[in-house]
Amino acid sequence: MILDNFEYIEPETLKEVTEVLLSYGPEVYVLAGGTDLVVKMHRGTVKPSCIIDLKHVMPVLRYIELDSSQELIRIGSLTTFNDLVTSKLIREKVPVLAQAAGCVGSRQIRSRGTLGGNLCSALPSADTPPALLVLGARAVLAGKDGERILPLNSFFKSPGQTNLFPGEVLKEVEIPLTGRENRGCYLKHTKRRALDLALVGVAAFLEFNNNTISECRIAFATAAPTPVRAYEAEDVLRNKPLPLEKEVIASAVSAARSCARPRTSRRATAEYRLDMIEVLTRRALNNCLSTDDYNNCGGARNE
Amino acid sequence: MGVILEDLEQEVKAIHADQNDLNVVGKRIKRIEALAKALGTARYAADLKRDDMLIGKALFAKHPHALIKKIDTSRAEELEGVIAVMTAKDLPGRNGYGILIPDKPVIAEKKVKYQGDPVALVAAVNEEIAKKALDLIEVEYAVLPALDDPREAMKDDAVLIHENHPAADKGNILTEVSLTRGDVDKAFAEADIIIENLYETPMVDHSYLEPDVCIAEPDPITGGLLLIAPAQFVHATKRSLAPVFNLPPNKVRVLSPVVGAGYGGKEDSCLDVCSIAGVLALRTKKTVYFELTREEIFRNTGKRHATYIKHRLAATREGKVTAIDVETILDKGAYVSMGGLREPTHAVTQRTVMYAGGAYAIPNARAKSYSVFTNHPYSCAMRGFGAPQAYFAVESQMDELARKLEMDPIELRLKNIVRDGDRTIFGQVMKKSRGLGLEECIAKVKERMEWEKPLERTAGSRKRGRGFSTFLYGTGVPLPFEGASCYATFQTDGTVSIAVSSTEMGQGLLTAFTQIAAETLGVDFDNVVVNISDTDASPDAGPTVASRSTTVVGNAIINGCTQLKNRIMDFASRELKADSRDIDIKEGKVFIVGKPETAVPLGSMVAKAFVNQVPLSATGVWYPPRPTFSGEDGQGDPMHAYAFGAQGVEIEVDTETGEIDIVKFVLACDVGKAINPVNVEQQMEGGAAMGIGWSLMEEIDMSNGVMKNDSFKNYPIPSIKDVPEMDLIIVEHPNELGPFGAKGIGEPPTVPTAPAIRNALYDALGIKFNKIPFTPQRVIEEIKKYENKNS
Repeated sequence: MILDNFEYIEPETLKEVTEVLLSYGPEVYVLAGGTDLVVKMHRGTVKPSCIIDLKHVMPVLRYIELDSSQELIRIGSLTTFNDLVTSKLIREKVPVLAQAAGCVGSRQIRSRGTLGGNLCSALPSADTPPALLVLGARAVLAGKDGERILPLNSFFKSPGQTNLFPGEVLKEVEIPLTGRENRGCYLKHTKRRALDLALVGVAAFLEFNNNTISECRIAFATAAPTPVRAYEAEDVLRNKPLPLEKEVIASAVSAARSCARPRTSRRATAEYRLDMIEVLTRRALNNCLSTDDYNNCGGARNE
Repeated sequence: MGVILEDLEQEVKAIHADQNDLNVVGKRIKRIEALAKALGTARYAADLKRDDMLIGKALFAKHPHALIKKIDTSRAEELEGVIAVMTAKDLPGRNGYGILIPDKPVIAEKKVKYQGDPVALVAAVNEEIAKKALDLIEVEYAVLPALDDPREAMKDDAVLIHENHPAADKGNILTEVSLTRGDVDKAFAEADIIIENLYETPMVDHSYLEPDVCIAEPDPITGGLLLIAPAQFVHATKRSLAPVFNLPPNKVRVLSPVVGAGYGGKEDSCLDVCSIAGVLALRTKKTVYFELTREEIFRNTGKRHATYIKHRLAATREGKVTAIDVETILDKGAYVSMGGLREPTHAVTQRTVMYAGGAYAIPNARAKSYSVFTNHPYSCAMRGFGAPQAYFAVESQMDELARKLEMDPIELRLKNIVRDGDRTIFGQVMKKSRGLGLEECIAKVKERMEWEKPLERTAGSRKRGRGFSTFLYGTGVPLPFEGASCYATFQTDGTVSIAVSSTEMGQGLLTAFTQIAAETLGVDFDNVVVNISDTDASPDAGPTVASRSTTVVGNAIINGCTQLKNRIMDFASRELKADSRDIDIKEGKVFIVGKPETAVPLGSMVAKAFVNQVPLSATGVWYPPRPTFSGEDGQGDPMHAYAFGAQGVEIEVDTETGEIDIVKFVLACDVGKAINPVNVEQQMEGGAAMGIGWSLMEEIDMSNGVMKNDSFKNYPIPSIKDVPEMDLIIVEHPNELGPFGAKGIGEPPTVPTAPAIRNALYDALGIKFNKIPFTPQRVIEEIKKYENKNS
């Protein structure tokens, strides 16, 4: 594979990264794991004039830690999918994220690909955004004037576009922990069982308090131009007492369908995607409500 | 069934009674090339690239169907680092090649007929400059409407793709092959039951992992060319391309190192890359490296023929099939490739006719197949060569018949399969002596499937179903030249060299050939080396296709080795003072039979023979009975032997998502004799996995001649998770003419999978799926249609 010529920069610090980003035009691309960017360059759909390779920044941005307050998990943006899958902390506290990370691409891709790359590529089909959205995650962005925090539901702008300011870099992702009993689930529907993009993906998260659903979040992959929450469906379930009536779940499922705006592509029709959003939402919710082992996510082609 | 199995066991024991003294053949020997491949040290053609080679690139057609008005290469020629730019007018010889007929241009001159037609070639000092040069070539086109559907393309008013095709029958119809047997109209008039359906199968890609590459090196002494490329038929590559280079064939040498799979595709794709690299090398007088990108491989190289099949089947109330009437339309794509001409080279088109009646003795048959040009990639050979398409139709039809008769589908098949002395629809008598293990295959699959037990049909949204299918599949090509030659040589230390022009492409042929040679000569497996795929090192063994190599080439190796063995035994008889008929060679020793004390190491006997003017090389040859097949009535004896098989699957369908889980997968193949059972099992697994991909997910998406899914991202092939654990059964009914009884196994396992899954789907859902692939979306759409119709 021969690529067109480009300038190649390997900054040592995050500050340097933002400086380079600011001084170069829009044709500068940030290289993390490369599992999206290099593929596009090979295909010729992206022709960068300059690439900023984050490899020297990786050691400082590759971490998964519990905040001393015990109320926050911090994940460095250059943490790989495999780091997430194998992290005891993630598996115990927010297993839905391990599920989502575990069904990205193949083992090789999960070893290279990073959480930050998955978010900043801003593809509607990405697997970790729905999981992070239902966890109420926030993005910590580093820019020339310091850091700011952006809730993840305001992070995505359009396919391939984020709401980062020029010069900003995703530093880490924060996941708040409430300490209440909860359960999440990510289900991915694909044409084949590995190494495939989500035809649709559904993440659901329920939090329980006093035999009531105190919080409900649902989010989709490949159901809209960006990863999205299904707010109306969440409203149906929030503050509902347990056990849930079947009809309540059904109305949440049909609300979820109305929240989705998938498109017809050669991979699947909009109609089929909508049908699958219903099926996967119901299954994901039922899974959150069950006490079965996490590995028994019926119907999901997850690892 | 138990009784049948017991009888079969007896029969099988009798069959194998004389094969118990084999030392190497039939053993589970590890692949010779496995370790090097696993370590990454095996050298494929692309690994032979050197920095001092020029890089070739081709500018391919911008439109799938268009007239070329003007080409301006001047700006590309001026670019520094560009050594040559070529258009059709710069070619040294004939602007056309092809295995059957030279209808595919090296560089399109006046017209492009699909996306893969080159319009200009570049050789440059590196890839970057070569790519830049392509951008500087200006081509003016007059766009023509592109034809996607052969059913449209065969109409009289369709735009003509080839103005003056040297072989086309009429308009865009390349060829028509017919088969007639008995009185079909009468049989249909008298039938108790008629089953009629339309079937569609998609165009799919071979998806071999190794890319198509060619290194072309001018020979400064002869003025000829060396072409190094992954190929499935080195001698035909040489013959087809020599006129392109304006060279006699003896100045073109084609060499194919280990090949990273071909599945039929590299019979043609090697011509594509070798022609381009070759003309650039002659032009520049330098070594040229040319490689297709994966996207180019998708768009340019051959595909499995898409088919549209109308299948009618007539039967009696008792379940005896009395007639079939079948019409098949094949999407030929832009060029002939292996699609087929008139007799005797009707190739893929012929197989769709030949296998239209499956593995059954059907007295009356009419089958007509039309191969029609479109603006698609040329359809070529692909594992099964037209048979998977034909069997998808006929095995689905058998299932429908069983359903209509409320008869067990296996019982129905047993009423109709060919048995010793029966004729197929193409009129060939099936002989037990050539191996006829179909009934044993069926019995074994039935037993392993626990077919007698009622199926547990799970409740709720997951539904279970079972499906079954059978096949017969010919070994070898039904062409008048069918046969093989090789060289067998004793080195003076008693080790053995076999030179054969076949290709090792992952099927395990090196190991099987080594076993055959070692067994024949009575030497250790480790003392034989097989040299492959070099036109200058070995005579023509024919193509490495058609499940033919182990059998046809294997026999040539036995012939060569037997000549050597006889010479050594003859010489030894003088040395040991015994009649040569009392001498034998085993385990590397020459001895008088019954007198182990006379044993002499083979090496010293061979060395002695050498200094006594005994020639140590022999040409081994073998020809099967001459194949016959008439393009008029489709009757003949096209292959000397047939492999048989049966498959059962149990599936679970998620009726909410449309996903299909294969929960049980049993495949039995009668291979005559498994020279290496490990190889046979791997062929069965690989072939079946390909069948699963064809059934469940693969489909090239063409729109106005443009390929919409020309990458692996958009063209899924099965992952390891999509392939179930398989229960594989090797059945051995020896072929009296095969090496140690062998018949072919390379392609057959791809044949029965799609109809078996289709029949299981019908069983699970009560819905007919007559179009492949059964993607989750298509399954849901059919379920919805069915529910709407029934509500």
